[in-house]
Amino acid sequence: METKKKYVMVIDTQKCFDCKACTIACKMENNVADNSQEYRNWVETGEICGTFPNLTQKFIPGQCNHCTNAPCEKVCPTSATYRNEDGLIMIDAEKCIVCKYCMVACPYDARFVSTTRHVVDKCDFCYDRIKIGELPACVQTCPPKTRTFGDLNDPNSEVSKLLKNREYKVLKPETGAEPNVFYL
Amino acid sequence: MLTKKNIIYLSILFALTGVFAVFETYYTGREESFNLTREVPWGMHIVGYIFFVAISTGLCLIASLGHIFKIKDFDQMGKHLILLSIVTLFAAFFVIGLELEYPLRLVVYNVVSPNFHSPMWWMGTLYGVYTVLLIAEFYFLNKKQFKLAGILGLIGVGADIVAHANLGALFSVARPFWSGAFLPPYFIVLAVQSGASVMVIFLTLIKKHNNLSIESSIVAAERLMGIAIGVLFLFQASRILSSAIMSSPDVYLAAMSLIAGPLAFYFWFGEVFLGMILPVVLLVKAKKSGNFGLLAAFASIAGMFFMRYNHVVAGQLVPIRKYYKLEMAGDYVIYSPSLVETATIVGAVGFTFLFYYLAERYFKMEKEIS
Repeated sequence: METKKKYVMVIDTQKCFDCKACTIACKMENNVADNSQEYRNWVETGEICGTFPNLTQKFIPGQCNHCTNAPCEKVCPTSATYRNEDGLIMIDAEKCIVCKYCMVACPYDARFVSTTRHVVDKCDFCYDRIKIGELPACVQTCPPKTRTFGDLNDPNSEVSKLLKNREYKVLKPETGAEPNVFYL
Repeated sequence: MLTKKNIIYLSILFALTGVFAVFETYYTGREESFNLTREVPWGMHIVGYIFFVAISTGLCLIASLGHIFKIKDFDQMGKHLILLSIVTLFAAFFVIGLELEYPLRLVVYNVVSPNFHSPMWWMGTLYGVYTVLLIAEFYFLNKKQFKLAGILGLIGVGADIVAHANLGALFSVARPFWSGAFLPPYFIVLAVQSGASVMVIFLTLIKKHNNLSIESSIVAAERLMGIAIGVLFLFQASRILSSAIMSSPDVYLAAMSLIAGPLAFYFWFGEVFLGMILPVVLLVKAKKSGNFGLLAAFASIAGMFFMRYNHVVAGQLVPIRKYYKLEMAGDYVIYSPSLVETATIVGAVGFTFLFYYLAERYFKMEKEIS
């Protein structure tokens, strides 16, 4: 489905220092329960590279990739997971039966059973915020500005410029999901 | 020992554990009662669901094909098999009903907002059609309108095969270990194997309890069970070997979790020994005594349960967020079923026996041979 906007997130892993402010901001903004199973975003610890004392380590923030060819949307039997008019993968809580098919189909571990919303929840790029022109909570709060959010269909947006000028990759391209979170 | 009374008492005990599971699921809540996690969202209930659905599918296939192709050994017990197929299907619905947080929404939104791309939508729809056809077939068998029952049986077999093959497809679009074009036919063979095993168990018990001369039907079911074990062995051996030798890291690690990882005992003892080796040895011995056939069927059906457990769980044990260093084996995700999850399955077994015997009595089928 072609949409006017194509919201994407660009993550510069060089900048992330694992403060997890994004995770806290997300939990506060979206009323995500405080337990080890429920989170919409996370920071993965990468491998340590180099030899002592010249060591480096990468941190890889992650979340729902709002894939263009989203496996979770395809497998949902009741269309509770759907693509909205702005191209984002959203959840209709009324239709979700919590069968968890989307959880096993997602290649990024982005979905979880929410004990507050009683659906199989995930990141929605803080759609309520972006509708009124604000940035997603994780982007707003990130101290080193690891995350950049915007409309890829707008050639003047920051994300368009970043992806035009820098090398990037996506996670698990072999799945064919065409994710919309890009890593510099 | 295997008197009808003893089996009914044991079934009541098993069914009570199912009642306990229902109470715990709704009173304590799913989060507390089930050992399911973000990494392993599908556990014992999914295993139980595909286990019971396969038995139902297998029994319906054997009964209907027996009727269509006039195989007397299967056809003469057709009504019993269809009844058993209905009971096991409802056992499957009981298990999946406890797994889903909103099972009624599935019924509503399957119609109101269908997603035709989803194999689960097709599963719900096809099994809905299959349930109606199965009950209608039994109704007309009971009314002795065999022609109409036969037509419904034929349509039912079609719905049945498509529904169960679709169940294989349902898995194949999710985790890497589950993918593969052979999954739908593999699921059909599993269904035949499961149906034949349950047929041997129930027919042997029916024969003992009601003094019926249905030896030929039992022997035919035992033969079918033996053939299905052979085909399953080929399927499973080629699947595990190809997964372990030439596949992606995710599939390789999942296969290794079965061969030498956290599921090794369930694989080697449950699936290979109980499900394949022991039944074949006992079936060879069964020529001399009927009890060996019964033991073989019990071993085989237990093995089939392990096979499904291994299929469902192994597909989820490889952490999907290991973007780096996927070769770091030993970092498997952990899953072991909770007491409530296990009680649900035990309860479903109890309900199967209990409702079968109740229905057999209600429809006065104890001595009936078609």
